[in-house]
Amino acid sequence: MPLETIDLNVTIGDKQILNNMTIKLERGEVLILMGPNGSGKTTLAFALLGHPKYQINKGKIILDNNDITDYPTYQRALMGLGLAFQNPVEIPGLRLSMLLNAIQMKKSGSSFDISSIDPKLIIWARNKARELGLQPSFLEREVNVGFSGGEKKRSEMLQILTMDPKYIILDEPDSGLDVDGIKLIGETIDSLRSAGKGILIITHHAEITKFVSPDKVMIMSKGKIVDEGGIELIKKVEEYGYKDYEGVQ
Amino acid sequence: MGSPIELAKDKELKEIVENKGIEDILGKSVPYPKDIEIKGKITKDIIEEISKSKKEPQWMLNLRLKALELFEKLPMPNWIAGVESIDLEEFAQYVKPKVEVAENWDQLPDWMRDMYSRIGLPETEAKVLSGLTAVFDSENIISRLKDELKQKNVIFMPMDEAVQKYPDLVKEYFGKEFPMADHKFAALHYALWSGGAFVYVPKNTKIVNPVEAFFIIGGEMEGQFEHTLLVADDNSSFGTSYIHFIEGCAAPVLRNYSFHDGMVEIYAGKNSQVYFSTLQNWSRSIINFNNKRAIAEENAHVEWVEGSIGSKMTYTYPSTVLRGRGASTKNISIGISNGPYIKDVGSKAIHAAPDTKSMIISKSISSNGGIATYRGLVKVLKGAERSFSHVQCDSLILDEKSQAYTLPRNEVDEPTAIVSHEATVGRLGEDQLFYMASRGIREGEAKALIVNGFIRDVLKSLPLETVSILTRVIGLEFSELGSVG
Amino acid sequence: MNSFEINIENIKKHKWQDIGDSPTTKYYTDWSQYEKILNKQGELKFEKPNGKFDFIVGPCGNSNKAYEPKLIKPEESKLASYHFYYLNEINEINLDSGEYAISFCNPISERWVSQHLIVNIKENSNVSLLIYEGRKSPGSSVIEINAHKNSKSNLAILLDPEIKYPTAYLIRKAIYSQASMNSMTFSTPTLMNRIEEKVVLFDNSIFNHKSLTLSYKNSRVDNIIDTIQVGRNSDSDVSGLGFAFDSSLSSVRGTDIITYDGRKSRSNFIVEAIILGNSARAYTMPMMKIETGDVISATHKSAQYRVSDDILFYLQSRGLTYEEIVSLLVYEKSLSMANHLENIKEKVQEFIKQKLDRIFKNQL
Repeated sequence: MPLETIDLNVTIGDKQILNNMTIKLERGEVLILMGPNGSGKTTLAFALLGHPKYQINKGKIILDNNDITDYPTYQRALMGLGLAFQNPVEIPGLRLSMLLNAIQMKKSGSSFDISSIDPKLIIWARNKARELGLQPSFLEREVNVGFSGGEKKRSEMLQILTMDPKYIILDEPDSGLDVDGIKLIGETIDSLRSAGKGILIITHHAEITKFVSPDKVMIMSKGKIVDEGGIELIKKVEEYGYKDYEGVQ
Repeated sequence: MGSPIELAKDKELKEIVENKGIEDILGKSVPYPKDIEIKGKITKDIIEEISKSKKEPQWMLNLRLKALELFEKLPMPNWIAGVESIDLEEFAQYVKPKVEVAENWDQLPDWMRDMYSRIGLPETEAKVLSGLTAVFDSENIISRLKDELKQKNVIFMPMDEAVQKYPDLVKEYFGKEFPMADHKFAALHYALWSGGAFVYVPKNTKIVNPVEAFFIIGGEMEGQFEHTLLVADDNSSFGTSYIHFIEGCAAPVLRNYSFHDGMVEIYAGKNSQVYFSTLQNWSRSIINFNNKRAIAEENAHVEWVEGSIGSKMTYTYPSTVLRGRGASTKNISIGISNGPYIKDVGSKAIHAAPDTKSMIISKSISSNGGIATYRGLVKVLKGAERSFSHVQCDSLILDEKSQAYTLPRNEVDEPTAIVSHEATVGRLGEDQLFYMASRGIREGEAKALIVNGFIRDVLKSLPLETVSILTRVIGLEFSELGSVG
Repeated sequence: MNSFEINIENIKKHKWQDIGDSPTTKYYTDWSQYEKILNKQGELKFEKPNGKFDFIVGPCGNSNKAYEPKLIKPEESKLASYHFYYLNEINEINLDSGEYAISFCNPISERWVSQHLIVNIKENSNVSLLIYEGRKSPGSSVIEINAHKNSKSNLAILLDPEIKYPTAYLIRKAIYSQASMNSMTFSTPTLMNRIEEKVVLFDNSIFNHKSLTLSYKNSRVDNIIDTIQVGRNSDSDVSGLGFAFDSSLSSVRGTDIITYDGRKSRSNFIVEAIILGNSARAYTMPMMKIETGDVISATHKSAQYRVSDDILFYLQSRGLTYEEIVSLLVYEKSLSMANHLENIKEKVQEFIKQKLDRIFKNQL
């Protein structure tokens, strides 16, 4: 039961970004997606989650054999698809702890009640925060407001862990982190894979592969997949860049 | 707790307890607007005479008479502070095609002649500056530009002439952008208007160089009730700088009248771009009303740049109605109130269509007892979906005697709009002055430097010529010379 | 009636406002709603409020009578004149250090009822105070607070009038020399709810104030917060937030004045109005009148917006629906407005939560 796109065409306004994009992500698999700036990597992430600005004029998105192409974003999330943003938006006034509480409430299917705060969740969250290198007091900060690059990545990961999705898309999870941070995120991803999650890592420098070895590497250019392989592809791109792929149809 | 009498012994409480209440303290610090006294009367006969002498078509005469009626009916605007009386009879004298200013050099006030000699200006140039001779003698510039405009079928002529030569075209747009019923002085303007320029830019025509266009308009702009109408038809672009003094030296300009009520109407057709800038440094006896409004159709862009430095009081609020989808406007205003003068400036942006944008930046500077006021309105009507507006208004108060008021209004009837406003009031610190003094920089020069720094981010978006003039004016304004008159 | 000798015939001739609020909207307060009430007759009852209170203000209560208002006079406006015209008595309470809860009796009537309370916070004292009002009648309530020299106070004014009656709350505060106050004013909406708050700051005083108003259904709220700094080195931080749901109107505005005597003062004034209903409207007017260049800083900001698309998508990607997102953000933002109230913070947040529940749990 994979997460896959079949011949996906995505436009934003008049501009076509994804061209007949076909990829498949299996559970228990780590897939690295690399590509030059502007190749459509983040567009893919947003289109998978159903961002309203991106129109799908051809193709399908299938999650565990369900055609979710027209499903609203929140429903895709509840069906087990999670996204860690590259540049998460600031939400003044909303504390991280309250967001985690709300995520958990939705996941457990109980009715949405703002006043009901699950103390067990808060304890769990504090421990997880510590594991991710965050102080427990961090949970009382407003979501993404004034967060450093590293804090943003850790906070995104904390939310993902709370959501406990089946498929996880991580958009540049390693940028802005130092070596220790990358190690931590990499190891977390590795254990998520062992837990049977399907993980798509979008990155353009693949430092993270030092700490979690991918099952598959895909290269994207101008909105489609232009190469597929193993770790050796990463070395190739690091040495020669993406120029070889520029003319690929 | 003490009784009211005991509390009253405390110096601080005295005011409140002595039958004043908070409202009275509030009242004390707000200058109550006084009613403006209107002396004299303008009769229908005077209007008819004006119209006849200009050989105007009937519809223009009707417009004037209707405006006169409105002027009499409309109440005195109560947001005006400090204007005490207006002599209407004085106005009637000046409603002629060309305004006469001082007849000869000797008629200029001493301080003005003094200033010119201190700056080192020879008498002839000074005469030009003071408006004694025809303002723009730069024949070659004018003729070169006139040719280009003619080639492109741009109509560019004095307003009075346009009413006669292009009556239908003028009738289509005249008085349509700025309604005469908007306020009492708008009505007065329409009754007495004379002079000004008419510019019509045909479809798809682009006039690139804004500053040159100024030389031609400039002469026509001399007037007490000048009316300028600028029509940019679809896909065209036009910019003009109306600079109220001459490049080279920014000395104040003398007028014999004391009340100015001019108007600029702009119609920006689809996809057109219009840029209109005004830099004013009038003499200190003048009360200056400036009515400016633009209508922007689909994807049109209107940019107002307003620099107000002179005059006793200036009231100007360039406004844009964003009537077509995607229309946008930018409004930059710099107001300097150096001395016991009032600059009451601001802007209005009305979002009446989806995807419209407005960006307003206002920099007010007050010093030596001046009052600088920003008065603004951003109104987003229901249906103006995804409209965006941002207002930034900053005030710099240069000493403890001067004041700054910021009075914005934001009315949003559309849930998908985003409207924001920020304002800061800054001051000139004693430490800054002391630091500069220790480098040999005198107070006036220091103030000029600080003011220039304060408006620096706004200067970036102005054409070079405007920036250099403005910088020189500011320098002059804050030097010993600027503070006279 | 008319214990304050108001010449009502004279008052009737005056305008409600001398100057319009804006070139396009003459009056943000719909004065006609008050006009309709002025001549109503009918029964008047007072009901004791629910809960435990240290003082109850009004005919069903036990507070002292006073003879003169200190911070508000009938002459100042037509609204103030009508307030005093319909007012029977002024109540005054003096407080020394401690934590107190005060409530008005709830008038039940179809006609205009005026209520008036003066609270004096003693010099050098440390006071926490909650004031509740939950009237079921149209009319006006005046609350005057004198925070005397060097006092420290946390104050919350919690208003919950019955939605169908036009109401006016006239709040006046004086923060005297070296006193400091953290305060909050919160109100649910009515057909026309005008909350007019004016604060005078004397030298070396500190004022940290948040105002939160809700507007829903077809209600109209006009929240005005004026601060006047007349003493040196005073420090003012004022924020106003209004939520506009359904087809209501929320106006959040005010004027921040630093007078010449208020040299070396500092002020910051933020107003926000968040539009959450498809036919809702939000008006903001943050004004500043700075009468001297000798200020430390004076800033103000205003914004009107809906929840941004970016925030919506982000939270939807966490599994939340649009309605859930709105309720989460409204609750969180509202509760955070009480964060500065120290020891009375929880009680205030509890009150706010209850009132928000009405909106989000369909209890309207």
